[in-house]
Amino acid sequence: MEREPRGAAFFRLEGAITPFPAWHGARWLSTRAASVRRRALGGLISLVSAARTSHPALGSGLDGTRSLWRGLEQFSRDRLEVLGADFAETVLLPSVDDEAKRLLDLARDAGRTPVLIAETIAAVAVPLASALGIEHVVSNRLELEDGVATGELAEPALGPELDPRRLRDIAEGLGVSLAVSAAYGASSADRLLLGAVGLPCGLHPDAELARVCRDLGWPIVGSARSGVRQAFLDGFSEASR
Amino acid sequence: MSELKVRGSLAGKHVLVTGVTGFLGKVLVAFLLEHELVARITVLARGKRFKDARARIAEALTRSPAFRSLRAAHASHPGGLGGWLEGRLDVVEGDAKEPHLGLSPAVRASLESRIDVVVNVAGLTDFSPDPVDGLAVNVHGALAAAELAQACRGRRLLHVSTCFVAGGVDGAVPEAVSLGDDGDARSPNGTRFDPEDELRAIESLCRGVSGKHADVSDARRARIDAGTLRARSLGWPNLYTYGKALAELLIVSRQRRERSALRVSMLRPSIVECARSFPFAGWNEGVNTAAPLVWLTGTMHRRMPFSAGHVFDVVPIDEVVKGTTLALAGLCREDAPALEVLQVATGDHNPFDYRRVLDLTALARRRQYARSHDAFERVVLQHLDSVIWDVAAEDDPVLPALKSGVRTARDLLVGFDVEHWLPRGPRARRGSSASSPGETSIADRIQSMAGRAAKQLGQASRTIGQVAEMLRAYQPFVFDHDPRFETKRMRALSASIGAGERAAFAVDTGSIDWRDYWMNVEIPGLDRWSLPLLRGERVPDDEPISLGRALDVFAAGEEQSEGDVAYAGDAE
Repeated sequence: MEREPRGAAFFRLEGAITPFPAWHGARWLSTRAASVRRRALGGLISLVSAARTSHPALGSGLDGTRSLWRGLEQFSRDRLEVLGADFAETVLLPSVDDEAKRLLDLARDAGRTPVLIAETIAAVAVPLASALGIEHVVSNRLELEDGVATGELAEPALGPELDPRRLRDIAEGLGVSLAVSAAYGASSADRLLLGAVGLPCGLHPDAELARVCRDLGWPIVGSARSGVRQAFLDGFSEASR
Repeated sequence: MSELKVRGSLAGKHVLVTGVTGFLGKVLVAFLLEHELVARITVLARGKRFKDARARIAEALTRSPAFRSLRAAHASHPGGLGGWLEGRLDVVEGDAKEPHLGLSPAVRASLESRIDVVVNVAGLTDFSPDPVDGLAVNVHGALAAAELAQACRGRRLLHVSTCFVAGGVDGAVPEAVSLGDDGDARSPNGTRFDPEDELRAIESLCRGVSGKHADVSDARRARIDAGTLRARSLGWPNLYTYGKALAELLIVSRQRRERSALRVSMLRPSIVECARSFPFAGWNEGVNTAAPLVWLTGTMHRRMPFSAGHVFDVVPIDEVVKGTTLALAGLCREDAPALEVLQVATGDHNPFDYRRVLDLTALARRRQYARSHDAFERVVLQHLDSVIWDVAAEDDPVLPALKSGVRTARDLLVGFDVEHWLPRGPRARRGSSASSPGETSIADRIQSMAGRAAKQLGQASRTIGQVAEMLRAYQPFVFDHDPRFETKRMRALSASIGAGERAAFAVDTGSIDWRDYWMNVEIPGLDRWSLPLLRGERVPDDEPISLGRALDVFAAGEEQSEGDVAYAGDAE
């Protein structure tokens, strides 16, 4: 008798699970470098990179993500992992709202394997996933040489958009079928992720993704971002325009 | 190496342990008792502050956190902990500073007929003790312990030394005593010398220096300076390492010269720090090597004059105690060699360098300050991570300049007279009945504020001076030299334990996860047990329990007797 294929539930960290974009973590971490000079430099790099990722005219996508983490050059593995865990515990975890938690529980109840998709680095994503009971994490990793970060992301790097080929590889690795999997995204960059699964869902989507969801008949959970939430997430982008 | 049966080797043995009121001594005795490894432990201790040796040991057993688990395990014994200890532990009054350990001939004769192994843990661990005291305890005390061990029925000595007897050297430090076949020793800087001559020379130096000073404290200071200079001229950074090295060399050279049947095991720990798990995680006592450095990273002082890649060779106390137990078991074997040197260190197989030490300390402090209720800690200190400054402490221009600036400011404030700055009118009226109360009150308040600020600046200047002095004292260890203490023999001995005993007794320094140990064990341990002492505060002991039954006193000529002193460890 043929077994029913298993599914996964892909949750985008930035926007869906927490309201914070990846650059917020990069700025938080880089301004906690050991030396004051590195803090100033790292903070500047993360802000410039945030502008790059937010404004199409400045370039976006994977290159923006790569430059975002350059401010963490010379961070030791200890500093990355300790501060990453602190950021996850003190900033990200309290920001996870009840909708996200409910959907996580629903996914588990439906037998889907929860997977966290994060543009942030593993030092942040892994402790957060662990606190939320998510076993599988797809995130970026900083390259380390002799225990010290080079500022470069290890390949394959993960930008705001998840390459469908990579998603298929991840699904294959987990032994799940995308056709019966769910995905929860929040920004227009998550269209590819949502489009690749059988059960797409907008979770606190931004205005553009909300429009796409409505056009394609994908469900929307949580309100489309507005007010303070929208202002926070898109504030930098708005300001740069 | 043949299989080491720890319990088998130690079964039925009667050991005499010195230095039991110290950090290592307490944990060692607690460990030996908890695992019931030897038949009997006789602890040698001296009376102090109106308490005899038995009262001091009873106090340690009933109040020291080192014996917590022992107290808990035997609380339900019909005779209490004292009852359980009957036949297992007794006390002999003695003093490592006195000739023959301060033992009477009768007690000594009695010990000689019963003791299998003498474990000499006693030592002065100050970096710069008065050489008279340092030599009395660390050299003559060790030699007296060796003499006693040689006269005892077991003819075995386990001498606890330190890895830092190697002095100011770089690179591999073998588990060996640097004594040639001709009896000449080699100092860390390569000078050949006779240890007996050296002992006579340093003692003569101390006598000579003392004779030149009428004032006791001047004489003491002069002895420390002269002794330190002599130690440094041979390559040892301070009097502590010099004295411990001299003791090792003298024990071995006398053993060889007299062709004695004494078997010696030298146990050299590196920097002994908080326990990983025994007696419980984080336990520490007194101010050990890491405490001042950790304290400094929590202050405004940011630049640490460390060599980033040099190893901070730290070992948790329980690993040292396991190593001591293995050395003891090895020494009790029939085929024990005449001399075995064993080092308990981490630098050669699980190195922990200063860059990482500083990073982890700063991260731990950052976490702590982030949750602090003190706004200054939360807003300022949290963000002041310490950084490595690749300059020797003695070449640091900042601290002396800072100290000088603070002193100048203090002197200005001391000489500050508010009257001098008052306008002519109020100045003329001041003190007279014509002055208004408001004028007087403001002027007095300013004068009083200046006085308080001067006092605070004076304190700050003294603290800066102490920090500079401390960093200079640490310089040989944190900047100048990078010794890597070899632990091949210790690890081989540990690996030779049978599978059934490995979990309890194997030295497991290779598995230390430094991040976890440093942030979750060492720093909380220092915060709890050591740093309050640096601030002049007391560390409270546990709530005392009743011992139930008085400790046995080792008595000459008798098999064993309970002394007639009524002290039973009750709360004072």
